[in-house]
Amino acid sequence: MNVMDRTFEPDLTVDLGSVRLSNPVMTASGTCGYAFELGDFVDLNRLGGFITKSITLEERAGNIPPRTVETTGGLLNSIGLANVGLERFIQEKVPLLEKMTIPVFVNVAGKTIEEYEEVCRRLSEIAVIRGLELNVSCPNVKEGGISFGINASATGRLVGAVRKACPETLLIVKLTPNVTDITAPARAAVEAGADVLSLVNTFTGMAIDIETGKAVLGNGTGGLSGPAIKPLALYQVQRAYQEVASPEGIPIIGVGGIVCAEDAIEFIIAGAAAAAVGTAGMINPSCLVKIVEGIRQYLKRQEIKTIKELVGTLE
Amino acid sequence: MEYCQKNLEKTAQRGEFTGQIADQRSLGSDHKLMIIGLTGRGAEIFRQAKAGQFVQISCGNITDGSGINKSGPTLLRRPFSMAGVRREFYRGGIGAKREDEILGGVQNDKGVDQNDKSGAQNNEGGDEIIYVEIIYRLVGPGTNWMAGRGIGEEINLLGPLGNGFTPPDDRKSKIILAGGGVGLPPLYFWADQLVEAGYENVVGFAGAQGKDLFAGELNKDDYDASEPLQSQMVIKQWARSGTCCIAATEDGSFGFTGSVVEALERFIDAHGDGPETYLYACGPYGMLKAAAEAAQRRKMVCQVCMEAYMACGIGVCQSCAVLVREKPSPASPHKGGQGTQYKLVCSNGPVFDAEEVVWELVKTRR
Repeated sequence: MNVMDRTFEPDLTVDLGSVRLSNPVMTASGTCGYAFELGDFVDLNRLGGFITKSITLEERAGNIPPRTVETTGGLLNSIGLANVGLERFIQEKVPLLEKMTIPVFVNVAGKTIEEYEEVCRRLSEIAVIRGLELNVSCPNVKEGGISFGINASATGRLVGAVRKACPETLLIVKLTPNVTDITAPARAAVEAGADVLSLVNTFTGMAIDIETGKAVLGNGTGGLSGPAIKPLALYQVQRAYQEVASPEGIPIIGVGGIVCAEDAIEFIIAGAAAAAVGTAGMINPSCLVKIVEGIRQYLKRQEIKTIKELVGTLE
Repeated sequence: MEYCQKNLEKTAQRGEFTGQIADQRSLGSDHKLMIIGLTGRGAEIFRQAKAGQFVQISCGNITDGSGINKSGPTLLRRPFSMAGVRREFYRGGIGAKREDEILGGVQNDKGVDQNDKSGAQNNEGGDEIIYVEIIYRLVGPGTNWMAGRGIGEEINLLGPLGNGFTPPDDRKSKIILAGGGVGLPPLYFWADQLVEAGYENVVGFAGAQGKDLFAGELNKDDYDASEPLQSQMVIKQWARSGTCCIAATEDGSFGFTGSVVEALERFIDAHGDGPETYLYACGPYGMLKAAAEAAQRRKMVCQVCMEAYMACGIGVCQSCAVLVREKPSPASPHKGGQGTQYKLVCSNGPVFDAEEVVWELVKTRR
């Protein structure tokens, strides 16, 4: 390998379809609020991109507490998509997002395909929003309450409908890991028009209070996040990259238990173009920028000129 | 942290700071007092902290971004109210011997570094050290990790978080502070601030299950056990602000026998109440509910400082929801029930007006 100049600065830029990020580190939906909630603790404008919490058509109060419980190396949550709803989001939160200098993506959830279509159509008209991330893990109320995302054809129908409703918008589809074969919904999403895949959402789990014999969470079950899920998420990213994203030329946002630069780099080697940090950023907001710096140092040390060279290099 | 904090707005009234343990010791059988020294911007910000606000302490390094120490015992930070925020550091005890024990800021010899290693954004606060006092109960891996830390070790925290207590307008108002279990500490800090602001009529009520279980230091030597409902300088953390109190234990091993709310009702029966009486309460759910009911019966103004299981503590995760009454609005139907909405203990609270909380629907974990 050539001896590099001491002043060598690696290129950290990442392209998610038509949107360029200055570095691969993003916030993961649901762990960073609507806009600047973490702003007293970390300079969010130093990240590559910002993904909001899930927005639904109607305001949602959220589930009955307790809503979270810590498990070994993980956080189990059943927040219930508590959010202010589309109208208040546009009125109260979008003006805050307009102050953000990095690309902003809004995560969208819904009970029916029509809800997703309406929310996405409205949001796609707002200039500061550079793309939409579809949370396909929600129950499909019109078809028996089964999550859209665990069924490839339901995923395809949902993504196809939103694609049609907003043909110009960058569409990220966030896949649920609660499936036997991640490549099936991944392929369905790409075939229906997804520009970017994001994976994984939380793994369904539960915790039981042995003194009362009841589930700890008010909702019974919840989604597991945090470092406990990192190896599982990494495997699914690697599978989706090899089987779908790489052949189709679709970038992946890797998510799941990232707490440090080394974790993020593992996801990039597995095939992720960008890495979203969730639970760790909520506990230690400053780790978000430390991860950016750590990736930069790694590339320097390894004498890799651009982060893009590292994507999917798993041997 | 240095590089991520420097661009943040200077106006921020909270942040992530690393301080050093100036002292740590046991209080009774279940509680510990940890005093954390902060310098630089941490000192500047915490100097303005309000009683009732809290900090989120990192019990290990699993998410610190360094990637080198992933062996922390807990993933989540642990929330603690502040028992005091002070410019002076008292090594031995707080109260009677304080004159001898002031270590005088930067001259202290207990390992708080004069140089700013706090990770704070800048050194605008000069050499001032602010000591944040945390009184905690040993309950699980997080607090056991804290108990194992020695003087001079670093503690990383977020804070000050949430909203503190609001004082009465009239400095002559009767003020009752009622704390149960590990709910006592923020009321020590509140007494400090009330007395400093010129409130003259403050009395404390301290509850515990037994005499070794107070979240504070008992002044047992000077205690007149024959007058359990007579306010005395019983708790050293209150004595430093000159606040007398009444102690109550469930098992009768110290002070009044019964709950802290029973004690305060008996006291009020003897001394009178009225709409000009303010009750500030912090403690477990059952105690707060009883305090809220007593306040309603006696037409006292009551603020409660609530506890909740939290993940982030900074308004992001929406874990610590508590149901409160709202004015009915057809535009926002809530799952919680007619005329109610969820508020977050971490960012809308932890202090709430007692009449606002829907007590019968507060969900607690054991």
